[in-house]
Amino acid sequence: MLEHHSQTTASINRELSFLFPLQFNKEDKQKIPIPSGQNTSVWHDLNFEEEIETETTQELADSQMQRLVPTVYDEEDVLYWDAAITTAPHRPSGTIRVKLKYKEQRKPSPFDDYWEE
Amino acid sequence: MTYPWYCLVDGDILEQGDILEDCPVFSPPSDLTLNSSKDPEAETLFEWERQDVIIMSQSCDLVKDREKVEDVLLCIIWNISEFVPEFVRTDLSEREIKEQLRKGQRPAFQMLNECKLPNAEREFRVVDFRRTYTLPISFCRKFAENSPNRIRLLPPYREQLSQAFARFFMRVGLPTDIQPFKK
Repeated sequence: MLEHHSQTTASINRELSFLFPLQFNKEDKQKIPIPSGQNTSVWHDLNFEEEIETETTQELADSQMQRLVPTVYDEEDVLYWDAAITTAPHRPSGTIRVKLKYKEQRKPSPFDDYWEE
Repeated sequence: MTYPWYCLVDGDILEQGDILEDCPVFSPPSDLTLNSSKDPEAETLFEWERQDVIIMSQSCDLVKDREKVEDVLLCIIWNISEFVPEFVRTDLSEREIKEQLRKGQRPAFQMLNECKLPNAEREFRVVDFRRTYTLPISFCRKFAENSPNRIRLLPPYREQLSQAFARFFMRVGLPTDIQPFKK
């Protein structure tokens, strides 16, 4: 779950990154203001409804709104704690017949100076 | 001054960072049940496989004739060429995955440098902290003794490996994280 969230935000970061060079032009309704670099949300200031004229522009507006999700983390900071190898590479393997000998339960090791060298 | 990553060793001296290649590891069957009073000597089948493993136990616990442990803690090592395809299902490129490993962004793994020692060339490898085994120290000594030119990870890289393992092991997930600062 944590990794999924992190990957999502990382992915969003990547998508946002190409928006930063955009310059806002009031006459060009297809463009979007430059998102703040300070993790602030900018989509509240936009009114896409006024600008929607066709189905195509609706889709475009939807995709642009998704891209304007506030930046949460820098990709460099993300730690993927849940990353794991689910299918281990194949190694020579087999089965071995073993005879199990019961031993008495182990006793604690006698205490000595653990840091002794 | 250079700080090489590896050296080659012989003999049965074990240290943290020693790599044991093709070392057999064993797993008891999941349905194994034993009653010590009824089955003092039972027979069963264990699964085993050969793995490249690295010693995670502290060197000071492994000093010969002054051992402070009876079993050696080991982690599996994967070759990077085996490791990367596992993450192909993500939308990351192979280079991005390698970079994440190199930067330590995948805490369950630690990347090891490639080994260029003559006759012991190895590609970049990755220690998998999720796959741990223990083997009796006497077994490991015998195996090491029969494995000439073993690769040993050297300081400070082995301490970094140990630290990375500790960081992964002691991880704590917070139910509610502190929200990012907006200004």
